[in-house]
Amino acid sequence: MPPLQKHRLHWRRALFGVTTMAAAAAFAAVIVPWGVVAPRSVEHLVLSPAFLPYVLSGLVGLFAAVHAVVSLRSPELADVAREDDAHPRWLSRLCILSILLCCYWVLPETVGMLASAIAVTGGLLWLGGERRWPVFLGIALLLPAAIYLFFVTVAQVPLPTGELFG
Amino acid sequence: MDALLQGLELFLSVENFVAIAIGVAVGVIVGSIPGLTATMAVALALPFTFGLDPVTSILLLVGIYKGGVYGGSITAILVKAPGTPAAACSVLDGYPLAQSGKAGKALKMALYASCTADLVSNLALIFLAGTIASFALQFGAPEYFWLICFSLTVVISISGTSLLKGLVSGLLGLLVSTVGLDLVYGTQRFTFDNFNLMSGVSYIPLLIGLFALPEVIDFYLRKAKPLAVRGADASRVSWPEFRRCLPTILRGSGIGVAIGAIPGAGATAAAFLSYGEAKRTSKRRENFGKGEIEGVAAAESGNNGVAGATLIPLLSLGIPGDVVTAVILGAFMLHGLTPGPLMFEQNLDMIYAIFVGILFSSVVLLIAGSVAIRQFVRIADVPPHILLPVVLLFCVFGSYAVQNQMFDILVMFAFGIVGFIMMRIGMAAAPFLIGFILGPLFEDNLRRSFLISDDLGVFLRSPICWIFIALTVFSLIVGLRREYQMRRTAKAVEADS
Repeated sequence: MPPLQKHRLHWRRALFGVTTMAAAAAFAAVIVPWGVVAPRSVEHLVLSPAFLPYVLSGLVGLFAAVHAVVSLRSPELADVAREDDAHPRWLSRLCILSILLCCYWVLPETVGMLASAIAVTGGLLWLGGERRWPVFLGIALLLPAAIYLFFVTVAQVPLPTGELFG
Repeated sequence: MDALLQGLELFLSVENFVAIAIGVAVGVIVGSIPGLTATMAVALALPFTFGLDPVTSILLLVGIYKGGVYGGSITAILVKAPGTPAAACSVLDGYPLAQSGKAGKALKMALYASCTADLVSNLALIFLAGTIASFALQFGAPEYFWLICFSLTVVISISGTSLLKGLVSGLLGLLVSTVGLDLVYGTQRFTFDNFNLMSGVSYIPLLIGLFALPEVIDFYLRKAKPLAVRGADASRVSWPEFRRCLPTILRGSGIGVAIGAIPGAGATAAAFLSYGEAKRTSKRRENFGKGEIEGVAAAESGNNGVAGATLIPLLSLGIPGDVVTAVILGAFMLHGLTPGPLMFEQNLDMIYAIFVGILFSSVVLLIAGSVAIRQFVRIADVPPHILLPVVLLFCVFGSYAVQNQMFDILVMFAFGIVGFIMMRIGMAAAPFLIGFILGPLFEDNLRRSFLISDDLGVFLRSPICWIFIALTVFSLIVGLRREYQMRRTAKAVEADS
């Protein structure tokens, strides 16, 4: 591996360690006191609801610090073998994917799970490069409908029908 | 002897054979669908047993349970979407095998290991139920605590290429498991007044999100198509391969039986413990996590070894070890039967009939599994751009099905993003899962021990505590030593290059 790339890798790993350490400290200092309701007095420290979160954040910080130090000294097998093969338009694809995934969260209450599933499956097929219309329509329409029917009738899961159709 | 003959007579009816066959087949199908668990299938099948004979009812439910436990591994191996939490361990080596065109081999080894472990577990149930149940009864909070500590050391074996990142991952899993209402004081922890989080983070959406969703996201952001599982193959498990894995399978079965007999310990811990032990003792340990067939055998034998053993405390003591056995206990009660020592005196013929049926279910599992593999392996032929939207569909429907709420879909997406980030930074997701699953047991037993006694000596109160302390220390030393050796090798490789 070229020395410059090796140098970058080591720093990247160290950065991960330092970031994780800072996140653990922030978690222990802000999130735990804010998010854990502890009784005013507890019989034993271990019985406090905040005990384990504090211990765990401390340990995360400790291991992250050790990782930062060790990273600058010795290699990791995974990093040596890692290759970067991101899609040239990965950012726009990420945006489209995020919107499609959000549809699964936002749409079912309004248009129902089946319509949402058809829309998202169609979107993902298109994003994946499927341009054969018979295949596209067959998979985007029939498969979600079949799986929906299985869940609703066989598994008796009351999937949302949506305000529009329900 | 008379009771045994009566039991055989009771079992030998067409209804029983059909019930086992249908049960196992339904279990395999349901178990293979992410989000639909064996528990759910057993609960849904319960109303169908009202009109059946007691033995037929129990065999139908046990068949579903056993099929479900095995079925979870199918999609874990093929599309990295474990059908059950315990099957997550099969992802570690099963999925890399599938990616390298050996999906058939991985599935077949999973089946053979499952059936062998199931048989061992059934034999343990039949011949050792009393002994194992009395051993399991000696487990109090401190013993459980050390058992969980020992189980957590498996994180070292499943940390992938970086032990420190694996440890951080495991700790994060433990931290996420603290979300919800506190068990001792009933106060809120990280729920931020969100009603959906009061009972904690649901493990099925977390599991699906952590393992299946990162693959989906990664596929759409990559240039190539790395998920392409190469064509459905006819790869088989050769006899030498099976023979090589047999000690691992038997050890995994033993671990499964021991863990399964202890109420509440769970199949996930057994699968990961079996995997960790196999990796520790294997001559091919460097291949683990990259597609080692022995890894699949270890995970599946640990997972399925639990199936028969969970019935030990149920039948011998009347104590359900997990949710599925609680539902089966309900089926017993619906038919006016109360499992426990009295049943062995009053309904011994029925017990023998159930034992014979359970033994027969291992054979049915082998047949149903072989048929299922032939059908399911075709999934490997489907191009990833078509397969992944369908996988996502199952992930979304399955996550919703757990509690019939949209919030679980959000949880699945959130942990999908976490899993994707972990994947990109080279942090193994398996330690996160094991931390999350064992976290509540760890904390609960730690605090219950302190409630029993203020004295720290409570943690050393019995030989069982000492045995698990010794195992924990041994496992830590061996694991850390191996990690150190791996680092030295990596350093040497880097120096050479």
